Amino acid sequence: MAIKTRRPAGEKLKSRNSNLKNVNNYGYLFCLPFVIAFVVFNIYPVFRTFQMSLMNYKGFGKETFIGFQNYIRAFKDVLFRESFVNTLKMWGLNIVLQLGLALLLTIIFNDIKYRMRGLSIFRAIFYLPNLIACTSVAFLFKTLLDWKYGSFNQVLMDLGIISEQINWLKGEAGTAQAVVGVVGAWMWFGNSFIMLMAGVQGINASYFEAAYIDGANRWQVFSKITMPLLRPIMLYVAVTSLIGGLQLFDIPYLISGTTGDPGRSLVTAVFYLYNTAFKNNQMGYAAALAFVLFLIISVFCGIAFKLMNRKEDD
Amino acid sequence: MKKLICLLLAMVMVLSLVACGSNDTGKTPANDNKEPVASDNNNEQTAEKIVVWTLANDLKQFAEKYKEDTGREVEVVVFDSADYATKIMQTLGAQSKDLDIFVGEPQMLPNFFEAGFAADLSKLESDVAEKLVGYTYQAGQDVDGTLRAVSYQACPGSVIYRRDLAIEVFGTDDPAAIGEKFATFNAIAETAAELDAAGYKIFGDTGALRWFSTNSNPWVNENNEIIVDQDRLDYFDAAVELYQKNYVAHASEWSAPWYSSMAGPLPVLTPDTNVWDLTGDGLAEDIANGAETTQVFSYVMPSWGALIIRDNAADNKGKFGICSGASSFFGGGTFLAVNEFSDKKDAAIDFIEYCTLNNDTAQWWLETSNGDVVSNKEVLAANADYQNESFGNQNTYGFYLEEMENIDYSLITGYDDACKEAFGAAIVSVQKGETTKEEALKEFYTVVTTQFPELVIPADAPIN
Repeated sequence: MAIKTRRPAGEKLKSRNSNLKNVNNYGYLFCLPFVIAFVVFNIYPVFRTFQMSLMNYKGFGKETFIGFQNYIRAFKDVLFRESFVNTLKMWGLNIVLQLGLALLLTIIFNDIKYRMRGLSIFRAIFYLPNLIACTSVAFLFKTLLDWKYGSFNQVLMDLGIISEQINWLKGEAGTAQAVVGVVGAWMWFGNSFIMLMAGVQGINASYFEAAYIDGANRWQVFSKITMPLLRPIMLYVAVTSLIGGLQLFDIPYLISGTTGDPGRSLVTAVFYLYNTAFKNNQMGYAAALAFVLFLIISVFCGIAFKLMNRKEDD
Repeated sequence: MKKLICLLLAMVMVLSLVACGSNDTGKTPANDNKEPVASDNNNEQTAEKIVVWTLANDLKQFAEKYKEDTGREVEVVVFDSADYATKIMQTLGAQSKDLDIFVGEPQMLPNFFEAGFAADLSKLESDVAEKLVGYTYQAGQDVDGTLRAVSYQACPGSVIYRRDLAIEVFGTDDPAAIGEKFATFNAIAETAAELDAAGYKIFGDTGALRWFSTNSNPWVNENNEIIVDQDRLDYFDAAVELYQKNYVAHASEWSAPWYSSMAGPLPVLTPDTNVWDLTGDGLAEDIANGAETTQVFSYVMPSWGALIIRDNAADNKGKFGICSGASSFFGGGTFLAVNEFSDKKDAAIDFIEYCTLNNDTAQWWLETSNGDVVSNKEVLAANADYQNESFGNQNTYGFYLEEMENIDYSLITGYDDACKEAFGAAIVSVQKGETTKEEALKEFYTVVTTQFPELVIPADAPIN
């Protein structure tokens, strides 16, 4: 039974003062700068973008409310569809190479029989491409892969692998898309490697020892122990890569010299959105494209999580 | 004490954030005061000093002369052209008073006008209409016909050709006769074949033809129909023919071989050559090593292109002439507009008037720029006898004045850039053998109507 005590006069005031004096409440104050920045730079733009997506708006001048017409247009837009498929192709190759390479390195560096040394040095080296600005990476590869004077073609020709120079960036659409996929994988495999390494190191070493004592070979250890226990972290890497990959813009934009050539093959969904907003001055439609892209990414992420849960349930 | 310090730090963070996010509308003390304000470092004219944001250094010279003549100061800030339009949109979108005059090229002006950034210049209208070249007057008007920008320049286009090669191949270097060789796209294709037989290339690349793509019809008519008339189909065919038969030098505009070709022979290049990697020295070395060479006969450019020829022609200086092409056209030009939010509109208008409508200034700029074409008709007419050394003593100002009379500004639409880009991409895909003409034209219509759903494909379109 609760005992009611009479609240003395002035207790309310005192309580307010004590709230202010309570050191725990200062946390709210300390959070305030971030919260304000978050609202101003993240929350407000999202709402403003949605508002713009319902308007016929050039980015200047008058805004006219047109309901969901921009969204209807987005679903009929063949160029947006094409750019989205381009994005998927480039991201698809990127994620396969990125995860594959990272996984291979993870297996090598965690093999208790190999006992590889210098992990921290290799980890830093693998991560280095991720620290280079996209602009620099784009220009680096543009120079290396130049059709006539690029070192890459010259090395391949010196080694006798090719007899004629390959126009990597301006020739075939597939080749240019492959280049972007490979460049993305080169930039990000170090990041994936670090995450997978962290995941593997979180697996109890006694599992591996027990497996080897029981006579398991490398493939059995990998497929029966490492892979199943790494699945959550692999999914995390894949989902974060998906979110970033579907927003691919800078490398194809710069490597194609802002044109998206050859034949629009390097125009990604965000590249198309950018052109719509800033070249064609259709800010309202570009805002709708941004929300459609957000929707697509959400669906993809949902599917990925569903797949993960199903595997775990199994 | 600790709590007090924590509180102070939090406040500093919050306030600094607010300060960062504040919308700077240029309400500095100096800007808020409409009367002249003297500062410690500047004299009393500082407050009346107007600020001009521009794309090129020309206006710096105008500002210096303006100060000499009137004693009033003008600060000219030059921006890189790639960032300029965005910079203006952001700054004037925030209703800044940091600048009093901004410039724009013709294709930028409609957006600036629609955004409400350019002040009404109607008080100059009667003089502008009377004194300046017709198309520059029209380009400076908004959709309601209100004058909002004025240009000191005019940029009519022409074919700039090699007189020595013309005499060798055609037996004449007369501009009228050579103009006939460029009168239509079919004539251009025939001329290209003649030149090729003589070992020369008609243009650096087929991009030169794009200047003639607006001849008798706009790209989009008043019914929002995309117009691909016979003239544009001829342009398409000529561009493909010139490329595939190697009648052009495959030296893209602004590349090193293109510049080098103005001064002399050029190694024969193929369509696959990445001209952006070539250098003038490398080309000279190739020629010294006995590479097969050719020469470029002509260049199609607005009047500012004549300055490029002059500066790169080296020993060929004086061997060029100018003539009309398949259509009269213009390209670029610096238009001055007054910031709608400026507190110094009268001072700004005075400077614009000085730069554009004052005959003495126009005459001075003709002489100072040594080749730029001014928009002032009276001054151009007064210099109609001027003989341009770079162009074999040809009377260039008289030619440009006549050429500008033929420019029909009503053919210009806001869709031109997008249509030209998509049409150019269609041409390239056929040139490279990636697709057929019919498929390329279908793709052109798809690209344009997808980007601008308000546009329609007319019933008589060549794909129907």
